[in-house]
Amino acid sequence: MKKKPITLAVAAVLLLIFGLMLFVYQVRLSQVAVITFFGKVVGVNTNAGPGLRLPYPIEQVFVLDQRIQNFQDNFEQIKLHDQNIIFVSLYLGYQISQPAVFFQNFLNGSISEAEQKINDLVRSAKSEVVGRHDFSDFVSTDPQQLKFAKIEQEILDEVQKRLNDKKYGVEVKFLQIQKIGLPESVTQNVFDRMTAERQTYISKIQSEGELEATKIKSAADSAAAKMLYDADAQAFIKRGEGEAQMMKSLAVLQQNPDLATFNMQIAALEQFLKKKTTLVLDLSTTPLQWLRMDQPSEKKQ
Amino acid sequence: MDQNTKRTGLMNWLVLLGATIGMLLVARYVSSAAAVMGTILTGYGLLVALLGYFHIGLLEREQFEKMEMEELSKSRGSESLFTTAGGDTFPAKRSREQFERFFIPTFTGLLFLLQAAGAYFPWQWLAAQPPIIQDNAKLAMSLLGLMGLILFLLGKYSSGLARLKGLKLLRPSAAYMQLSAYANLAVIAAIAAVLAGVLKVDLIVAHVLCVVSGLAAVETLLALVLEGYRVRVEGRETRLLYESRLVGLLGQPEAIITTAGHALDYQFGFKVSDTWFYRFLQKALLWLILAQVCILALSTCFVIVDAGDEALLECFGKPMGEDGVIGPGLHLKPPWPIGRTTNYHTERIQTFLVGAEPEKTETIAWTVSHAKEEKFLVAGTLNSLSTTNPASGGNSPPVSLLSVSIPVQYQITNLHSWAYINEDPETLLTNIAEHEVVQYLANADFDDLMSRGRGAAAESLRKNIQQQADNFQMGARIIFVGLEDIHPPTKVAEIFEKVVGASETRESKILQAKAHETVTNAWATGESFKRITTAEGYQHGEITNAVARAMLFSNQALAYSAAPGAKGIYEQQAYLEALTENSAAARKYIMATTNAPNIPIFDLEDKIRTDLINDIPPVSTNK
Repeated sequence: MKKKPITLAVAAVLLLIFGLMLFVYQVRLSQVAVITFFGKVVGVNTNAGPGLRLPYPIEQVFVLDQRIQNFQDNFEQIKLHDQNIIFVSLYLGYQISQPAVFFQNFLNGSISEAEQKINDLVRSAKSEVVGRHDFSDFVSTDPQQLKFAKIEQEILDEVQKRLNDKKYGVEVKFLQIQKIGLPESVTQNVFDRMTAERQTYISKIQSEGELEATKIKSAADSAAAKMLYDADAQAFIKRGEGEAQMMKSLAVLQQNPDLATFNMQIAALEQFLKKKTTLVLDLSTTPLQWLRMDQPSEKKQ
Repeated sequence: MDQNTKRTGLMNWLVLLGATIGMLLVARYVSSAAAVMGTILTGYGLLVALLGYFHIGLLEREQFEKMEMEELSKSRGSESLFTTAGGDTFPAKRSREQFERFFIPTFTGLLFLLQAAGAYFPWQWLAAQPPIIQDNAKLAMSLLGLMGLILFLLGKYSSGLARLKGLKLLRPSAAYMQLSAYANLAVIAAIAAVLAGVLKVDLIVAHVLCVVSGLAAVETLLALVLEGYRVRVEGRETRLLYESRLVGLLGQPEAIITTAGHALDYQFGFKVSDTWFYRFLQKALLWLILAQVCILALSTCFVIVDAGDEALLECFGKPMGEDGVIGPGLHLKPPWPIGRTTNYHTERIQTFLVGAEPEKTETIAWTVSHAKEEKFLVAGTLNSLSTTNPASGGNSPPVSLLSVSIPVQYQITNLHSWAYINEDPETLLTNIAEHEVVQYLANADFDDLMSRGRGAAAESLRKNIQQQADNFQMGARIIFVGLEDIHPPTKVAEIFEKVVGASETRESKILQAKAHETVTNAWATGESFKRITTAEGYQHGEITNAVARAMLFSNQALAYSAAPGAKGIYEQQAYLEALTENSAAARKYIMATTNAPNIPIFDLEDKIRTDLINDIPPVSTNK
């Protein structure tokens, strides 16, 4: 009997908990509740906080997340307008805009089921829009040619239009390109081109080196030649000046031309006799006349 | 041991066999992970029940044998043939002993392996299990309910029967049947939860059953090990090795105290259940559990937020206070499930990667793969010679590929926005960063990006990501974007290194030319100086010489004037002096005779060197 009040208290607490579970539900700030009465949607509660409900199976409360959901679509191959092939994947953010419609379209408001359906629409719109563009709209060093934002907006408009037509009860908040790529078979070609490009660059650098070196060498040689020519010119001038001075000094020779001539002849004779010379002299040559036999007296004298 | 026991054992086995097959079919029919695990647990029961059935058979044979021996001994008196009780005399008893000594431990070991495998392998592939087929759910629940009911009733009956003396062999299979019944109940609840929209419950229940299998494996292993150390009391009934206390406990939750008492008594060899502590525990357990629950509930009224964190506090799902954000410290909150908190690392700098995650290596070289490469398209270089796009062969701009691994660091600055606006803000931020990187690279000049433009690119990317994050009201601050680990893919990295080599070669050639320039310049300067100085010397010589000659001439003129002309003394003296002095080395032939008719012939050949003549060896004269 002693145990009874406590048992009753515990039972009351348990009853209260079960009662709350049966009659109360709560909605978070980021959620929206869809209330069904015997399976029929009878209300939507977007206010955060507690709410009252009739117990299952009379009323059922389905809580949906009303934050922006985001998901990525497949990284898939698309043929472009200029016959190029490109891989594109997108990510998009959507929000449940009409909870009751969304709940009825997808089993108990299943997000995964909704995303499967939305993904189909996105893929279709993506193929259509991307296929209208050229490769240079995706990759270009010219900012004017790049049309990322335009392509994204076109796909978003297309997706939103289709979602509105089909009344999915969602609104696309943003849609952007997540990744672009090339087919694997083309990747090797890109590598080859990159290699060739680098090879060209290497040749260019090496040629530049050769050119620069040749320029420096030629300039040095040219400068050296100029210096030598200048030096030779100076040397000639100096020689000329020297010779002019010499001629001035030698003007004195004109005072006695006979002697000057004689001196020059003697100087020439000296030069003439300096190296290997064979002289064949007869006795008429001075002073050999003294060797004549008919002049012994002269010799004796 | 009567015939009824054996029949009950067989019935248990057959029911468990039917339940295993039935649950397997239902699991496949409804595609429930929890049902698969329930089937595995029931399968253990099937094996245990089969072993139990054989065990009962052996005991029954032993009892018959014993009875026959007693009858024989009564009818024949005390003949020597039946007085000894050797092994050959009681083959059934010997069979039973052999069975218990060898077969049961072997079977228990095998059971342990199966239970361990039943926990380990399903844990790996449970997550990959396809979702429940909801259209088949109701029929599956009904079938599972029916099987559960049969298992429960028969299990209860068998466990009641097993309490009778000598019928303990029914206990293991009965426990497994009840466990299977509860497992069926859990699977039904899981399927119902999935139907209600809580998809994860099926997986959670499957994992719980996985844990049960794992615990059963641990218990079986411990039982095998401890069997060797158990205190054996003469005449005391031994516990069956293949009987699981855990299964018994889960199959009969109400018997938790009794089971624990039995386990302790059995293991320690005395009545632990008679001690005061055990009795106190038995009396106060409910209160203790209640107190524990109260403390647990009370503990949910407090929340501790760590330093560097912030938490969102909600009451009935509505943020409490201004925006529901609470800072570090101890805070009061309504008890769960009314009040809920979620902690976030707001001050902590968090990081995610765009591109591949690099392996941890000390040296990161382009030519050595250090991560699973994720290649990004980059616009071709502005200076590129090629204008052909390899994707088409058309006239599109060229593209290059870059291997990218970009760390992005961020902080949560507005928790309210971070938590309430986007469902998965981390993934969204990663997507935004990836989009900005792709867009930036698609418009970037490859060479510029790889060299001097890297810093500017990182800052530009950071700003772009920040702007997008602000546009999406993410409440995050982008702190850092690192472009350190962007480089050409490994396949083409080597040629990029050769560019550096070419630059070095270029510099080398230029330096060589400069060295040539220095040498040439010095030589030309020297040579010029030499030529000029030579000319200067010549000039000086000419002038000096001329002056000297002029002076000499003046003096000579004086001498000449004294005896001028060819017959003069001066000329004669000068002539003879020049002739004698300069003809000293000349070969001279003097034609002394002038009137002879002879014609002289001169040999003007040079004289042979005497040293050459001396070197000629003498001619041999040996005759």
